[in-house]
Amino acid sequence: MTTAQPSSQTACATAPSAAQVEASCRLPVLFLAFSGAAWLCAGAVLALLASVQLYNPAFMEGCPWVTYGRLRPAAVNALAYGFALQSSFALALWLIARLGRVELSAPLGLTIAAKFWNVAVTVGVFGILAGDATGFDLLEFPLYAALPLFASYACLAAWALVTLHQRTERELYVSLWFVVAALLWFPWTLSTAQGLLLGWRPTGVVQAIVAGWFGQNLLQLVLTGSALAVLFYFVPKTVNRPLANPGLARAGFWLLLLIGGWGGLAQLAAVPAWIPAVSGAANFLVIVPVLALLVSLWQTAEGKIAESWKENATFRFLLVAAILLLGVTLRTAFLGGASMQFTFFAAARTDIVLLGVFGLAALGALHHIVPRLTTGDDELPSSGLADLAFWAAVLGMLGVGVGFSLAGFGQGAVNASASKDFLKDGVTGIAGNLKLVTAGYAALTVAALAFLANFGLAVRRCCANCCGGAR
Amino acid sequence: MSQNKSKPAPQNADAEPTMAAGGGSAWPFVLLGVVLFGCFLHVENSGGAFRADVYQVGVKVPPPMPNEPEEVKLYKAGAQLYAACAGCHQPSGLGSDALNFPPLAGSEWVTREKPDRLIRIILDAIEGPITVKGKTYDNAAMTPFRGALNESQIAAIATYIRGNKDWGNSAGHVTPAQVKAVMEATSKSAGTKWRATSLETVP
Amino acid sequence: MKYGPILGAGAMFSLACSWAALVMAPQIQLGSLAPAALPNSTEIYPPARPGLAAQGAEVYRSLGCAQCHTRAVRQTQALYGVRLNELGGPASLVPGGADGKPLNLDLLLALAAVRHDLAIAPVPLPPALAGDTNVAPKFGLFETNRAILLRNDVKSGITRPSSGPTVNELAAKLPATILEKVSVEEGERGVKFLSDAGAKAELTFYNFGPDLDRGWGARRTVAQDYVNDSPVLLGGVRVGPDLAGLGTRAPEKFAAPWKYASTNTAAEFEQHLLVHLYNPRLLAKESICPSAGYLFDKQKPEVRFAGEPLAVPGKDTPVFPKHEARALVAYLLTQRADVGVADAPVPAVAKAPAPKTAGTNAPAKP
Repeated sequence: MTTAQPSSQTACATAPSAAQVEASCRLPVLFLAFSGAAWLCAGAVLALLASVQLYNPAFMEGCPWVTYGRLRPAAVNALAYGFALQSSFALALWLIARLGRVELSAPLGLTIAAKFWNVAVTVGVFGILAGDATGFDLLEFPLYAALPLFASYACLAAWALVTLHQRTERELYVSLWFVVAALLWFPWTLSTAQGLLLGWRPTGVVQAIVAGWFGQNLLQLVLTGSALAVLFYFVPKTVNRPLANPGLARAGFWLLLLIGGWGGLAQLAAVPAWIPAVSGAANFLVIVPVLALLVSLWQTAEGKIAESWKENATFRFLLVAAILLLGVTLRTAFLGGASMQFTFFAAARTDIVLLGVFGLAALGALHHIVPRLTTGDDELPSSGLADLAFWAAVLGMLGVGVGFSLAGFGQGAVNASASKDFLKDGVTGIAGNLKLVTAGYAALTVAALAFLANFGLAVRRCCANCCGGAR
Repeated sequence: MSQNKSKPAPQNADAEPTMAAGGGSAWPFVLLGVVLFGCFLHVENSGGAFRADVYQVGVKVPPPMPNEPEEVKLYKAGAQLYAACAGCHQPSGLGSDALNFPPLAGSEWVTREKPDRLIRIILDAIEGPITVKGKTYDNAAMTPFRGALNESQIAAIATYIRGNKDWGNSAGHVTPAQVKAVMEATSKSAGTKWRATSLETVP
Repeated sequence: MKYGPILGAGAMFSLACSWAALVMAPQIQLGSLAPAALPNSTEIYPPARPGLAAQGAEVYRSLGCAQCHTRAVRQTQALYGVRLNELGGPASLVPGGADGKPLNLDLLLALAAVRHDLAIAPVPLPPALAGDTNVAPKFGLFETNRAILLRNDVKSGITRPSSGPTVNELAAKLPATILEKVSVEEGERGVKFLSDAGAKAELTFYNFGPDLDRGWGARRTVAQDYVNDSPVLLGGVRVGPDLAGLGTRAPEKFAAPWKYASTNTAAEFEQHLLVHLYNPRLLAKESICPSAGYLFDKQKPEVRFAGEPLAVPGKDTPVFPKHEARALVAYLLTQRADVGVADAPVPAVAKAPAPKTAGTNAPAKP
């Protein structure tokens, strides 16, 4: 049962136990986690194939289904909608259930909605490969996939919010702030963007502005927010201390919400000067809430970081994710202007946030959640596979991030001076860095496979444990 | 629940993280204020005053030259307004012999060097026999436009019919000032339609 | 925090702020842009794409060309100049110039005020006009003003060369470039001085930037350029060269430069693009553009899609571009970044002739 908590005087009597809560979460969360990890694998493979084409154009050429222009958006959207958003739902549901000490409402309904989500993502990815992409970054799914996607999301979010409403622990912990914000933010921005881009379409560059605004909100608020929710849950729990400075966390949370949506458009072309100016300023300003949140976490974990690193697989993932969060924030602020416009350096931000900040945080959290929901342990059966997943994911992130950034520097030099030969310096010259990117995606695929294997082992052990027992 | 034997059991696996009491720091807001000030400076320097036509600060695009010479503007406006006349004088400017609508295309009354007669005709209409291009037309049905159109509109129509190259007319344009002068000069006889004889006294 | 609805309200408020600033405000500013007449002309810009090119835009989107190619030209600087076009109307002109050409004496003084590096030579009164009481005093006045100007030079510390090129020579051959690559204030001041002297002078523009030096366009691309594009397909990464000005790009400005082999430049340009689609590495060995050979057929297509076969270098048999290939090339040929608009003027001399419609384009010869 729960140990004494200062804030839940009335909760103890009627709250379900953690075991009951987790039993209710089992089906939807495990399904979402598994599908998310499977899409991570698929998306990383697609991204790997696409990255090979960047220095070896003869690879898979001649088939329009796998031309780079279709493969790359398919990969990015598969990773964003298939892996990232599904994992963030899994985390959201588990966090709501655990922190609210309430059983998930309609677990079967959630699972079915999640299934539909997967179907929609699959149809969308095939639609992109078939040539029906919309042409807007992170919104490439054609209409026939985007609508079912939104519909299944609506069900998932509705039940999640119903569960939240029924919580027995009324005090909302920090993680739930981020979870609720993300759960609301995603449909609001998605419906606005899809409505404006697939429905009533504004003229000209305003479409690019809307698409950029959506991308920024998705990365900075929904996905980074989910990563922060995970960080704020697991860091205090791992070091076994209360969260050090909740006022700081509160300040960071609200400032992130207020400022986070304003950035991301600093490198937009062909728009009046005030838009990149305002957005570039916001890229800087967002450092403040990110710092506030990370300092709050650091003050919580201070002194116990090395110990937790050694003992806890989840903590390792989260520490690297937090470092990457700080890194990508500073990177976007200082090098997010005209010098790196139209380069891989700018494009890499999507990968770093999707796979690094969120991806590592989600994998770390799932390394704790999956065993809790299957075998009841706190760790997955194979610590070797967990270590492999961690190191492969970190190396993968380094490969992708460093490779794209270095390639971006080369392209930036070409963009800045007409005396540089485009083909020699801008194409052949960066091929080496792009090979690093391929290696990075390969490592990420290995990480995903390691996690899936570990997942499979956990499920097998769970089935062996309760073999013959009805569930 | 089974435990992972190789590592010590975590103390409170079921416990949720808690928040320490109180807490709160001012430093994020101080930092926010400082960075926000910098942001305002940045936007002021490179934001181009939030104008839609500034794509780079420091590049001052001079105000656009007047789009077209006045005669072109008047011609284009007159082309639209001519619809008021096209009912009788036809969009082709040829009028109708059968219905007694004189043509405007090639008409010597239209293409005289001075537009005064034409302005008077548009202002107060004309009736009675009039010879145009060798044929005589006699029609009392023309409507005067003195109240219906202002001087710019009449100048536009007059410019259009005088300068319509498709019709073979290439006389000079008519300015609103000229129309206004005629309006004032003929204000006493407003309401009385002109006749060819009375118009001939006008230079 | 106990109340979820407060969280929700706060989230909605924050989202509304960024939405209002970054979606609604740009829509208010830019949403009503539409194809509009260019300054001083009846030409509508941007022109509506002919049907084949419009279909090509769909092929461009479908193949994901925007993943590697941007369609946006950047510019780092703009400077101005003054060009003198005409000496002026009858009110400002006096007879008496060389070869019987008229002179504008006030203009010479204005030019001297604008160009401190040129001498101002005296203009002698032609003996034939000595008796003309309308004209002769003007020459006297000019001489007086010239002397005043030279005295003022000393006072203002301007050292004007007493010999060398003169403003008289400058004004003799029109159109003349009076000022080059100066700030807009200096340029406008120059135009005002010259116009006040009765002459016709205009402000000219010089655009600078690495993209422009590469020949990728004559000016930056602005919002007006994209009003006909849906989806806008600006592109985000320059894995391949920028395509905004491809339709009027000179062959030597390509990433892999080439030359025209015949005088049929429009057809050659189109063929070059078709060969690029078929296999980019035939034209540029280092290119990483994927080959779109699936847009080409080995055998003759149906009569309704019939067109010229494409001779591919290094292949014995010609290939037949499919409809999609022709449409895509037609779309690429409509890309131009050299038409001066109100927000982004271009140097008048660099203006390329308008492209021919119906899928072919006569690129400008530099």
